[in-house]
Amino acid sequence: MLTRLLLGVLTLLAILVASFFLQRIAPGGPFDLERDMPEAARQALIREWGLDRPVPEQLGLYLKGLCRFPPDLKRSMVQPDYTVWEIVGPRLQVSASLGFAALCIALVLGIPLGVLAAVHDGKMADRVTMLVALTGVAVPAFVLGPLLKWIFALELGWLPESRWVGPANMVLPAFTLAALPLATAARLVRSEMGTILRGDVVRTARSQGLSERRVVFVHALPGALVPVIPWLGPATASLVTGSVVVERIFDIPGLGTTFIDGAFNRDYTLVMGTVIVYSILLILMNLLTDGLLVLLDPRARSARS
Amino acid sequence: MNTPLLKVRDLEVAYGKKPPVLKGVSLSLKAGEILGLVGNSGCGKSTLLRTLAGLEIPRSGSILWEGRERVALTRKEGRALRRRAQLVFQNAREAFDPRMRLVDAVAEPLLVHAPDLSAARRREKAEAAMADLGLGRELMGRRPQGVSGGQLQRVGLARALVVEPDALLLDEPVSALDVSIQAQVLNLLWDLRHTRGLAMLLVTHDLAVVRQICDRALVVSEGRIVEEGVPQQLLDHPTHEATRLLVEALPRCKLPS
Repeated sequence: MLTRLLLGVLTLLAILVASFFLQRIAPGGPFDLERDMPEAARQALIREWGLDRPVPEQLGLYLKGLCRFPPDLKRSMVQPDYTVWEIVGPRLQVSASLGFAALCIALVLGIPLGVLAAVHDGKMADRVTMLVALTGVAVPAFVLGPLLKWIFALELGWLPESRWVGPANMVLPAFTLAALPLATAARLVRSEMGTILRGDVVRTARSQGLSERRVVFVHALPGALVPVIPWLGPATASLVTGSVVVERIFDIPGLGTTFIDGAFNRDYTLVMGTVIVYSILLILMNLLTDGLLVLLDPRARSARS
Repeated sequence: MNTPLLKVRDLEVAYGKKPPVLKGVSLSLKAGEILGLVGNSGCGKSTLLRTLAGLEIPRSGSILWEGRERVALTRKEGRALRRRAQLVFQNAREAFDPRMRLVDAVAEPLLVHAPDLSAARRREKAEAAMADLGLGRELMGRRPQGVSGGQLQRVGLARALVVEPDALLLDEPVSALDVSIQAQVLNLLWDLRHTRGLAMLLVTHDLAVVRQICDRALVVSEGRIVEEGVPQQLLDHPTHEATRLLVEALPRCKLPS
């Protein structure tokens, strides 16, 4: 576990260094958009932010700031009245709650759909379920989002069409965001469950006369969840850090939009802040899912030991 | 009393709309008899075993257990029959749920066949069944990946025996094991027949196994039974081409005495 934690820290460091250099390679800078700024003032800002120093030195200073407690994410270069955390924090909260809702929808609907399809392998229930799953994969959020909005907000008037005010505002974006992971979860479960249901564990259980419910839920389902777990880490991290498409469609102040705006404005510190948040979440989720995997699949435990 | 334990008549089994895998198979198994089913891979012998265990539904023909039709049984009677004929698979490692402790896996069939027993009583019975086959107490709490292939095959037998069956349906029970372990398992089967009077239907592609343990053997080829006899007679005077090929596959070299 300690080795994995250390590896996580090293991964984070590698991501930080790579993102830092990549940003500096991209043409333009944080103060290029303010066209009416006198050149002398621009140069003064560049000096103030230390952008005139060699890039490795800038990186060193940035990392030094991160090592403090609490870590110093600096101020936003484009909105200097705010610290990066003051911008990222509230948006992370919005994105995380939306992402968490989407993840719950994806798992609560996706896993049973996968089980249903596997149990009715080749029959109508299987075909319909997999058609739904395929649609989830094939229809992009920029089509599904407006479609759901049109039907449920504009035509039926059941749900608000956009903005982020109350729980009702969460429903349409959460379902839009959940479509792809729901389809993925259903397909992963169906595929693994199909293999298990054809295997000797299930044959033995059936030959003993165990009920089909016990066969499916006790012997097949835990194993069928195994491939979902490694996918869950990156999927959770990507869902809770926001999706720029869904945020734009439903006018949600989330982290995805912040990141894209930061990148367009060359707001170096803001982009680094979002990269750090995303990377830490991804690494933590991977550690967590590794732990879950060991719980669900004893073979993973013996392979590791 | 003369009614055979199992009688199969003109059994035909097919997967979906494909041509039948078993074509008009008939056989009988007496109480306490070890009957070998030999044949090459894909000849239909495992399908026959699975059909007898109730895992495949025959297209036509009849399966009679002590003179009663298998297919026509009620659900309760079908369950009772499953208790009487227990299936043991070739690869024990794949026949056990990797998440389940061995003692729980052995106790599981009792959930169906002795539903009135308490959990503690089921566990006691499972422990006793394992101990009977020489499996030490230290193995009982382990999971399948924590024991050897031979031990696991014994656990598989314990799981079959815990419900006190009349017959074992054995699908290549030793072919996944090392030669020395094979002998141990075959000896164990031999002892079980003598101590408990169990009938066994043993599917194998290995005539040597048949010679060692079976009272009678049937040769299956392309879904039909092509030859029947005592093993030594089949080995010495094979009449059908399929039997001859199986006999020729036996190693002929002899070690100097």
